Parts: sequence; structure tokens; C-alpha cells
Amino acid sequence: MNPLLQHSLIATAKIGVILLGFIMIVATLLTWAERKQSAVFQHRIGANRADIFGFRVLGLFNIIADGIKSFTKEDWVPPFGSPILHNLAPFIGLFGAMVSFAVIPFGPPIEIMGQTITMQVVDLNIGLLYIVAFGSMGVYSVVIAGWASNNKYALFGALRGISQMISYEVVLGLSLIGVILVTGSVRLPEIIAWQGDYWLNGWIPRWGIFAQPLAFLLFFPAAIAETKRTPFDVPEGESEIIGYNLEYSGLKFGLFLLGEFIEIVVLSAFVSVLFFGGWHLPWLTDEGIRMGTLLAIDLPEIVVWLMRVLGFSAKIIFFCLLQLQIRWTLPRFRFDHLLRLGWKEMMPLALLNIFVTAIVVYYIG
Amino acid sequence: MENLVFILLSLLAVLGGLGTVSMRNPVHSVLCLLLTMLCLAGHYILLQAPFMAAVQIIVYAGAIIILFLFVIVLLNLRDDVLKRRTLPMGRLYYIPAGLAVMLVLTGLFRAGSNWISGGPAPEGTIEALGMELFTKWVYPFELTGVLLLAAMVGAVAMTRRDKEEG
Repeated sequence: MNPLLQHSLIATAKIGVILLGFIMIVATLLTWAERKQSAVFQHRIGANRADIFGFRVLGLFNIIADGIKSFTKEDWVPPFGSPILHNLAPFIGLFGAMVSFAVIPFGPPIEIMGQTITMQVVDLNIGLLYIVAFGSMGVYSVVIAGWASNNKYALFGALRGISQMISYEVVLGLSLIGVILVTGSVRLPEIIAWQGDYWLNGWIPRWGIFAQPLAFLLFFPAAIAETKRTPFDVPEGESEIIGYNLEYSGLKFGLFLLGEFIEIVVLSAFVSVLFFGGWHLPWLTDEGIRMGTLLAIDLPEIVVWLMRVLGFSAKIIFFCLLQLQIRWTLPRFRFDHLLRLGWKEMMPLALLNIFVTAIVVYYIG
Repeated sequence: MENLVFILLSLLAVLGGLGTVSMRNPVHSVLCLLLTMLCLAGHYILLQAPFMAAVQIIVYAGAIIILFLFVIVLLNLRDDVLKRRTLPMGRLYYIPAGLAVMLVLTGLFRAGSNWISGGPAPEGTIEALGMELFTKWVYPFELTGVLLLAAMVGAVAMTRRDKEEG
């Protein structure tokens, strides 16, 4: 077969499996999980009304009902705004979230029919920066949506959105520098490979969370602020103040929502890669389970590979659920508190983290 | 294939540039400028300088243009201002514009038939660029850092309110 054709076929298959087979399914299930989670928190039963021939399956059919509803609702475009930009805005957000998955490695490379296949769509030299770059595109979706709606409340929401996302992008970028310093690379497979090692005679895995705890504590809230979810949901404020997506209805509003859920999955994958060892599981080596001198179980290669891919998926799902938990636990920040937290408290800490890490890496590494 | 991508990106970049100067609404202008910046990032990828491409998107698309947009959205330009098509002393601007076009054309003619192929940049990857910056160009690099710090302190000092507000 023509190598170029083969290459593009493999890439297309990867995009299909990762994007449609994993991300979209997880994101869709999250819409259901969020409704159920909030119901548990508020002592309700939650989504359970949609049924097919009397079967409800824990309210899972509500996902289908939501889809049909948003497809059949009137798609209203405000006449005095800018219709082209109004239509474009939801897709920009979705695009930025979706393309980020191209560089995330879902597992170690595997050999199929004499060919090594990496578990990521492309292995970019600048993997980490790529995610940051396309993550920063999300703010355009907010500002264009707010402006093109020609509605002052939507515009105010967009302005809050820009201020918040720009501020927390700074913290996000600075907190990543510590990780880059420690692992010595911006390529995600190399960052994961560095975390495959152990400390203290093989008892503590050398994961980013142990090497860079402060960076994780700064990165995670800053990244949640980028996804615009409670406690950082002032751009949107769906319960009382109105946000940038005020003039959207039907499927386009649904796209904003879907984009938000995909961002949750991206963020979970990113956190797992940077701070929780990526596809590494503790004490699972290429040969099998090795726990110091205590335990040694040999496993076939394919089992190890499967355990790693499933382990990575489990990490992603864990962080998705953690974010849902955070959303329904914490109240919203006041806007000036939010900006002060970003600029005056998190940013100096991020700079301190870089400074200390640089000194330590210089003397030890 | 590479030439095709190059031509496509260049066309889009030029279209974005034309849109930037000809759009009546400043928000549309800024979005056209964004298109140009993204196409330039694509050009950096073609030149095998992925780090420059990432920086192009993070700095220009992610920060500078969004600040332009922020300011323009806040400006609240009224329709009568937007309808004004001429600048004071508008003709004067033809001179630098003409010179710039001449410069580009001279470059094109000097490149001859070879104008489309650039070849990879020698220090495009993040490792190579870092080595160059921190060995050969370390003094200019540090001086630029001091300059940026001075600019930042200046900006903070200008926006500072009187101290009773804390």
C-alpha cells in the first residue's frame, strides 16, 4: 500500500476511535452524570422521565431526549447582531476543545501486524504548547458570541469572560513551566516516560503531583476557570446573572454545552498526563507487576497494554467526576475576588514555584 | 502538496490582511487580523519551526488580538464614526504603503522563480531555539527581558490608584 495513504488511513482511524469512540461518548455521558450528581447533591431523584416502552435505564434515555429537543427547537439568530459571527462562535469553542486531543497519548505504542502504532494522533515536538495554544482559542468563542448577539447583557458576560480567561491563562501557563523544568520536555510522551520512574526504592511513583505539588494546586483551579464552570462561572452565571450565550437557542446552545463538557474531558486527560503519570500505573512495568522485592507477577504484553490504556481512561473519568463534584460543592466567586485570586495570589505562587524549581533542578538535576 | 498548503495559507493570509484594512466594522477587522495571524502560524509549521508556530498562536492570537478585541468592544463606536471613511491627512499614508509594496515586489523579483520554496528554518525546534537563545544571544535576550519588565512596571504604575484604596 502507498505509505502516504496508509499513514492517513491510520491517522483517520485514530481520530475516529479517539474522538467519536471515546471523547464524544464520555462527554455525552457526562451530561447525564452531571444531572444525576446535582440531583444527589440537592436530594432529588434527577433525570428519570424519558422512557422508551416504559424502560428508563437510570434516566440514560434523557440524553436522547435532550438531543432531540435541541435539534427540533427553533434556531433563533438575533436580527440586529452579526449573523455570520453569531453562527460561527459555538463552533470555535468546540474546535479548540476537540483538536487538543490530537497530541494526548492514550497508551504506550503497540505493534499490530509488524507496525508500531502510537496511541496518539500526532506526536508533536511542542505537544504541551499545542494544547495551551488551542485552549486559548476558546476565549474567541465567548467574545464573539457576546458581541454578535447585539445584547448588552451578553456583551457584559463576554467581557467578564475575557477578563477571567486571560487572567487565568497566565497562571495556567506559569504553573506548567515548573513541570517543563522538571521533566525537561514539552513532548507529552517524554513527560509521561519521565513519570515512569520511582522514588524511595520503588515505593513512590515519580508522578508530577509528587514532583510538582504546588504546580498541580495552581494548575487545576486555573484550568477549571478556563472551562468557565462553578466556582468560576461568572461569564455565564446560568442561575441568576446572564451570560454570553444569552441569545443562543436550540442546537447552537447545545454546542456551547457540549464544548464545555469536551473541555472537561480535555482537562482531565491533560491533568492525568502532566501530574498523574499518564498511562503509567504504579508498580506496573513492561514485564508485569513489580512491587519492590515483595511482589512480582509476570503478565503478557497485551495485558499490560490493556491495563495501561484502561488505567488512563479510568484516570480521565475520575477527574471528570471530580470536576462535577467541585461544581456542585462550591459557590460562585464574586468577580473582583476572582480576579484578585488569579493575579495577586495564584500568580506570585506560580512565579515562586518556577523560581524554587529552577534552583532545585539546577543543583540536583 | 506542500506548495498547495503554502499557496492556500498565503491566500488566506493576504485575504485576512485586506479584510483588516477594508472592513468597515473594527471588530470584523480584528477578526481578519486573527485569520492572518493563524495563517502565519501555519507558515511557521511549513518552515518546520513548530515552536514559533505555537508562540505565534499563544502570543498573537491568544493574547494580543484578544486585547484589541476587548478594547474595541468597549469603545462603543457609534454609526456616524464608523461611516467616516477618510483619515485626516489620509493621502500621506500612501507614501509608506507604496514603499512597502515596492519592497515586497523587489524581494519577489530578486527571488526569481525560486520564490515559493523557503526551506526549513535551521533553528525551528524548541531545543535548538533554546540553545541559540541561551548561548549565542544570551545578552540581547536578557536585555529584552529587562526592557519588558520596565514596560510592565510602567504600565502598573500608570494604572495605579491613590493608596487609600489599597
